[in-house]
Amino acid sequence: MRLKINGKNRTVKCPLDKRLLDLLREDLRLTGTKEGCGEGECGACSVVLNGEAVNSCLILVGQLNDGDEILTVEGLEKTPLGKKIQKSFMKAGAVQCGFCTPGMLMAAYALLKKNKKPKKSEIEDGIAGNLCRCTGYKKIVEAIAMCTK
Amino acid sequence: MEIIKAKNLKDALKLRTEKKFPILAGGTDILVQMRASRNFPKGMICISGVRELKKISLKNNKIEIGAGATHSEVALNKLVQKYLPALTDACKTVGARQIQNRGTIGGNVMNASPAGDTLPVLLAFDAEVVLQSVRGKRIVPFTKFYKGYRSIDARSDEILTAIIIKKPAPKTHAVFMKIGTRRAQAISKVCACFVRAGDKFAIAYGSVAATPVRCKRVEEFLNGKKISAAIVAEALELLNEDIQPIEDIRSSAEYRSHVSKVLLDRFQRILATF
Amino acid sequence: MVRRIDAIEKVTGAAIYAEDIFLPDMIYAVPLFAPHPHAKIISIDTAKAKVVRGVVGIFTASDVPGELRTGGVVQDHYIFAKDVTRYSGDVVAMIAAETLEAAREARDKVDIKFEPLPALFSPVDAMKPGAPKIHPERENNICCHYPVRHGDTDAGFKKSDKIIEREYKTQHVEHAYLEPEGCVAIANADGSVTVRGGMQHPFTAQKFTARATGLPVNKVQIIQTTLGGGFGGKDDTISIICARAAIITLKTKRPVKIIYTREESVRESYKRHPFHVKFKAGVTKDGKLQALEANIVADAGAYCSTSPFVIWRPTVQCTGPYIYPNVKCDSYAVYTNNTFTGAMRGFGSPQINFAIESFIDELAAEINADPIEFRRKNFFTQGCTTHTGQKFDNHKVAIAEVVNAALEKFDWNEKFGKCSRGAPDANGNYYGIGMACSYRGVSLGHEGKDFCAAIIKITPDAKVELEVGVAENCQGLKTVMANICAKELGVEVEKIIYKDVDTLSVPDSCPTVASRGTLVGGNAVIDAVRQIKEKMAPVAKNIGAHSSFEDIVSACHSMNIELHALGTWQGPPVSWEETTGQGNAYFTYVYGCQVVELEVEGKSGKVRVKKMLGAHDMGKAINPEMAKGQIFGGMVMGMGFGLKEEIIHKEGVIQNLNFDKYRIVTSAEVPEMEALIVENRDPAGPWGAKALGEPVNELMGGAIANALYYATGVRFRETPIKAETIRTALSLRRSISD
Repeated sequence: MRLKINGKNRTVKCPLDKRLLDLLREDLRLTGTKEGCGEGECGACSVVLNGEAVNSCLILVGQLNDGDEILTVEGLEKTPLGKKIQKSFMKAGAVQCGFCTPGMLMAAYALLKKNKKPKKSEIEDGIAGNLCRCTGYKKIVEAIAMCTK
Repeated sequence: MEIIKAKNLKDALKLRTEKKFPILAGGTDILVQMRASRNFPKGMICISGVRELKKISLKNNKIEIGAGATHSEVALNKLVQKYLPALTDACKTVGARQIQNRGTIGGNVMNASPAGDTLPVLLAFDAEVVLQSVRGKRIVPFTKFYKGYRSIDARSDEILTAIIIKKPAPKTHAVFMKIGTRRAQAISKVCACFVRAGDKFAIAYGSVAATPVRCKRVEEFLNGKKISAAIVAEALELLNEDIQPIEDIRSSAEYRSHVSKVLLDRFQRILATF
Repeated sequence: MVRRIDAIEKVTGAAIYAEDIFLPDMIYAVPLFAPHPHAKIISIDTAKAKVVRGVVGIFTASDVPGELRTGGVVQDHYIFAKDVTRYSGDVVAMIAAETLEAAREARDKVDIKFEPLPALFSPVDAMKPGAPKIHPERENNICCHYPVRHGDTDAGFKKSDKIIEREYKTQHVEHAYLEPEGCVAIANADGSVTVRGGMQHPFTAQKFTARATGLPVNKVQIIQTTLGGGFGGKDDTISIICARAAIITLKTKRPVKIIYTREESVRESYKRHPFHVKFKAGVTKDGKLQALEANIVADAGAYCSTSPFVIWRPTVQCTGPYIYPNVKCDSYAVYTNNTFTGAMRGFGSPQINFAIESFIDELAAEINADPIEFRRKNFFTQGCTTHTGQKFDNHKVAIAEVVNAALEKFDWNEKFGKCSRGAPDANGNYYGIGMACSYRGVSLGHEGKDFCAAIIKITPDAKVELEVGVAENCQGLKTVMANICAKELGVEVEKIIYKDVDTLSVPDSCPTVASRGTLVGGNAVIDAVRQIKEKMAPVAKNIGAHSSFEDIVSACHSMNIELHALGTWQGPPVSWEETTGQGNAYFTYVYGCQVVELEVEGKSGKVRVKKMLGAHDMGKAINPEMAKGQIFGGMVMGMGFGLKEEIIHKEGVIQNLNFDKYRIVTSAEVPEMEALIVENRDPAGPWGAKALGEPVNELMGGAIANALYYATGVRFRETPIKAETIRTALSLRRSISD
């Protein structure tokens, strides 16, 4: 299967019943994407698939199609928007333990890609599938809001 | 586990007959269940690449929603927004954004969870499900589709291909409401869809019985009546005959029964504003 | 703004957590749990499991080369359940295989024959005479008991105009760190073992692993990986997991990776202690508190863990920041067959403060006093003596100050007048505000020795290598330590190279708990810098006043002056008399106040939190933005404790093992938040800094209960206060008043 991962074309060979999360982490060693619950509740494994935020723990490689584009946290700095979000997170103090951060960044990326000026409530809803236990979300929401300026 | 990708609908139907493997669409329910039960089938037929199943169209006064349309796709669809805004709202509350982007409306129907968010809407609008196999096509009304807890009228060689809803008459008012623990990403404690078309009512609830339920007694009582707080107060008494909520980890039977009434009462208040 | 030094690696995905380690030839191991919370194991049949392709080995109690039992305080915790299981999270065996999936498949095929034993799921039952003993070697199921005897409560009650008794209960709470437990263990050629993993306290992991493997401590190297959240929860369980991984790697001579799923993590790991608190207080008409009797019973679950300390802190703090001249307190932790309980952010204080602050408001209501004025009348004052006989004269007693700051910022007086007090608005909804305040002992106090070490090594190219014995628990410790070091040395923070804790390098500095990291670590760093500066000073003098740091370092190296120092800090003396509970429990204290504003939808009982504010005296905020982040995160976690979170046991078996059923607060529920930093520099702290991480998590439960009271007129005495409970209470009251 041919996939475009973080802007690079890659031919992927692996069993089709492997989770996308495991393909990224084990086969490609893109370990920035995290596993927090394995059932699509915490969002730590979020990646951007063809422009949409998805939980990579709930996608099997067999569900992907040739030419699918996947963006992970490792690819963010190569995109202008991704870089901006990363800087905002650091500046706003939105990073604590960092385990939710990659998924949070990807959810923010997908949100901002579609909606350049989300309202506070839209940001809160946009990351409602990403759990964070450290920050109380306030600084994360502020970081995303900083990107709209 | 063998994952076979269907190229098109014809291919999918053929594979379903030959292999009898379960269907894998968005995977947001079935993969979670397989992980929890550690009960893995020999294989699955993946239909996420089947484009025919993603279409949403209006033909002969009927809105046909392809079973493979994701909740995000349904929610963003202009036809749905225009004619079935209650379905738009329901699709926006299925899990969080990540789940809406993958989970399909067909999956929500076939998963047959009594808590499925879109189901009360489809039920209240008298939707029909289109089941296809190599043998042909069957159309089953939603009211007959759910036979018991997670039990549906579908055969082992069939695939759900579409959901059909008659275009609502002008001046139809419908709302979707939900009581959950969290604003997003919640499995509902109770959800419901209320429809008023002229002086006829359709009311359906989720999470209050083994299947999504239509509230026939309440509907019959309300039909033809001019809605008022007093009338609804009387209808609330009948609601208990239509629903049989259970206690589970998310809520108690008593609370579900109570908030079901709260939702009906809220519908009455919303109607008053139309 | 001081930025986190570890933020860059976390936003790029480069930070290495335990699950990110992949080694050649590595095998995976998974736990097999107890089939029943309290049972006699008859047999473990592994025949079918062993033949699953890829299985490397199945390990049970008989494979433990060292001590089978472990624990930080009492060694009653079985690394593998042997003969008997004591809770549903007991691990009977570990299955190791070439792949994770093979290990899981094999686990499904192990057949355990067992015989259920009579089980105890409530501390009340477990305390009854004749109850079956969970640990047969003990006299009874009481794990520990702390008394306090101060003054004469009978005399105090005689002086009182009103005597009021109330009971409060709290629930099991899950830490819900986003990263489940994980580690990788490697058997080294020299017979030693290295374990890399996500733990809060590498030295506990080292001790547990040495004890279980039978290796001397210096043959066990623990290296902390980036930690994905801890909140007190990554100590005992992860240390036991490290020990199991070490046992397997020593037997198989292959690297072993253990990464728990969320379900495995929630099943085995310890929870916050549920408390049952009984208070009896006497108060005069004019609002002076005279006497308090407190009885605290906590569910310890199957093993002791840190229960004695978790019970001791609320014993010391059982009055809240109020003077009661006469106090009698008895606190117990009791063994049951529920999941064991241990350290969690606050260490018993969110539970006791929920009770104390609810009770204070109830007392005020009973004598028709304003709850704030009532508090002020009884607050600790500068130089006062507490119920443990400690005179508060070595630090600023700031309780009135933080409360005033919080209330003023919140417009308390105006909003308090608007509370519904049981009378709903036209839509049937209620509005209320509530507050809670506390004092809290800093660091370990009399729990144990209080020590910390820091190593500074300056390389010839003038880079400053810093290693501190306390661990980064995600709170930003590295950043704070690096900043203290840089500022004290007079160099840019970029020069500091922070080294993660390695147990073979830095001395054991006691656990990074009790919000002690900044204080003890900072002091150790300052001590190390002082020594370095002493070495540099004569050289600097020689080469001239305008020479740069680089020049001085280079000169030192050329003169063979090794710029290397071990800084230490030893806690000031504390004292405790066990039979009367009298003494100077902690060497200093912090003060905090939190306020909440909320609405209740009368019909459904749903609570919408509108605003939360936290005001905390932390001595000195070394990094104010990170401090505020702690306050926000702590308040939100406290909100979950007050309103929704609960681990539900059914006959000892947890019913909500993952986030679909154990619901923590999401971004969509978070209200507007404000943080107020109050600074009264403490002589004991680095630059005057004290503590923050836990105080911020110990107040919101009580504040919410009080706000619900001023909204609905109903007093809720059990957490979590769920919509169902509120709705039922409101409808009951309605039917009575109708």
